[in-house]
Amino acid sequence: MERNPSQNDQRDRQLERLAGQLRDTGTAPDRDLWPDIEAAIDQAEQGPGHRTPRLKRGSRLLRFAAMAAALTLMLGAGWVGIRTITEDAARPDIAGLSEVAPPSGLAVINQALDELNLALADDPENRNLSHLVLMVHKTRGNLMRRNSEKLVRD
Amino acid sequence: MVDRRSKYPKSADAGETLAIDCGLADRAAEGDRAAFEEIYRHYVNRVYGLCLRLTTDVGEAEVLTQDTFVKAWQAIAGYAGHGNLGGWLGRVAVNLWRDRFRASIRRDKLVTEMTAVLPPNRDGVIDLLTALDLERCIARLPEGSRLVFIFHDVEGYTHREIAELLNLAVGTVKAQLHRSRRLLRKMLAEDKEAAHGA
Repeated sequence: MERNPSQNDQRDRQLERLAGQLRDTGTAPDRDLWPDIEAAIDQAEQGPGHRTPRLKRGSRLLRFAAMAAALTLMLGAGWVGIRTITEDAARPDIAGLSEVAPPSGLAVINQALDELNLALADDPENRNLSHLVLMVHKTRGNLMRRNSEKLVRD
Repeated sequence: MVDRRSKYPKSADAGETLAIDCGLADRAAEGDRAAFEEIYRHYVNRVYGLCLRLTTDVGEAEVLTQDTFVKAWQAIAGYAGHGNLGGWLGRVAVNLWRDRFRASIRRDKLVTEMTAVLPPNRDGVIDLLTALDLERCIARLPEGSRLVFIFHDVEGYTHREIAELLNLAVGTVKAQLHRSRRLLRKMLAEDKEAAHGA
């Protein structure tokens, strides 16, 4: 049964008040993100001379090359992640596998993301590209988390 | 070395906060990393909370938060003291989120879920609620309703701004907002009933 409008208005105001509290208090992340942010700023400030050249816009062939590279990266990082998670505990001799994806791997993934985003800007309706971007983002997040966990362990 | 004494006193009013925001932003724009870290420490919970609400995934929220602060460092000279720095950072986060996820924001889904059958309206009393209760319920909303509620009621965007952001008609945004509030009232009432029954 519908309640009268004034009751709903009152409840909406309560919701808005609580929502405002959410905005102001926020949520603390599980870990301190500052070291990663500082590292990313340093990397960005190294300048274009330290980066590989961007792909030319509109180059369909190169766009698909970027997709393929990103896919390879994802599969590689995913495989390392799975191996690391499932086998580290049982086989200490391969615990160093996580080092197969060193911090520099993050730079490569960032580069792939840049290229994918450029390709997506050219072709925003391309579902395959957007799916790839999402997957590479997840891979990047996993890699960052693994690196952080490794730093904590060490 | 970062000066750990926060420039933001707990009792700071809006004017004082704005003055501190501007001072730190000016220093950060000149390359003062310590000033920018102070900004990060003060606003990270707000930015991360927004990113987590938008993405509903801890890993993606961490990446989006990181990218927001990197982008903010690069663009802080453009802040120019227009309003609260937290609000400006929120806009940076939302723009990055939109650019990154725009292809996955299914406009058809945002609109068609409007036609889903709503459960009977069994609004209960929602006093004694906490923001945490609301946070949990927001995460359970359908995507379209969740995004519109976050942008309007949490972040303070106008109907028109949300319509442009999500590529929806203003009327659809208003309807989604109405629906989201109705669903939230229902969820909160049910949660409360369950808590009393336990």
